[in-house]
Amino acid sequence: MITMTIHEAAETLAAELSGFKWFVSLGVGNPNGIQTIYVYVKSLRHPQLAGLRDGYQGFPVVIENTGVVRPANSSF
Amino acid sequence: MRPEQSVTATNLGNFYERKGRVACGSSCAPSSKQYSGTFGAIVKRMDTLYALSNNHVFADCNHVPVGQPIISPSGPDSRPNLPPPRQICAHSEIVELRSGTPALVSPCLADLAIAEIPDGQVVSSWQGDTDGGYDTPHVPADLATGLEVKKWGRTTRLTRGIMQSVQITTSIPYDGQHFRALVWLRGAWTVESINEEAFALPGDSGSLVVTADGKKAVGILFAVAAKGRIAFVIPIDRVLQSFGGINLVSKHGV
Repeated sequence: MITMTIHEAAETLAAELSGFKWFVSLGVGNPNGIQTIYVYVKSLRHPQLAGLRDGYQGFPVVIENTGVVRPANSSF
Repeated sequence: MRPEQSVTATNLGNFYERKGRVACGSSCAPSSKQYSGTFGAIVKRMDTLYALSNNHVFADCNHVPVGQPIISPSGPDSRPNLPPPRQICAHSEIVELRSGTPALVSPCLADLAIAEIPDGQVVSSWQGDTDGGYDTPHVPADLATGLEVKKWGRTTRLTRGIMQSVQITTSIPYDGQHFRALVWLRGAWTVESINEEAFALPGDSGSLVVTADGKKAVGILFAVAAKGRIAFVIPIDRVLQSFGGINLVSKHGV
């Protein structure tokens, strides 16, 4: 049962994950009309991620191993 | 030298001209710096023209003095078969980068800078090369998942992608000469490459992302991940609200 909007769920999940060093970014999208939470991480093997594979607060979660986000300047 | 630097040092930057003027999408940098970014677009505030790019391109993360010449191509991208670097603008203003845990420090909303163009005859609003290039659109797009987009940039030239998601929060480790810190940023959009190739790579910072038909502006690229398959973009409405309000310039020297 969905009790939060996707933005409320995303804000809550972002607050939960942002303290972990492997966390990169968290976003909200609407692929094929389905509201979805995207979690970007530096690596996938973390217990906190296992529970997210079935969704969060009723919303599907896509977890992507992106590595570190870098400013796209040539010296970085 | 770190492997990452070695790779970027051998990645020759691109430079584009339109009717003898420096076109958007070209390599650029402050004259005092040995890195490269992208000249994203020409913008106008009141009656003054500015070049638009990232804070970490024009200002090396808050630290390039006002008035510093911005040259194109950048010093590291200068080579025998290109015109010599020339000043296209002078560094003017930034949206500042701040570091600190989000519970204590308000997350940043943008990584942007503008530089005043003293001579409008030097630059063109054309994006990229003659082949595949297009004029800068001045109409902002409504951003949505699945929107097909493209961009011209200093490193990867013309690439295409699809808008994916708007970010609640993103952590980005900046590494400027005088600013090495983790910055938290809210509200960026991600763009995913349409294929296995990179949508953007180091040196493409500052590129203007536009809709696939080239008619509307999407945002300014500032970061990459996943070997360039995912890029982070500051949404165009936020860009145009910055610096007290700016407008994209089309049909300039095209």
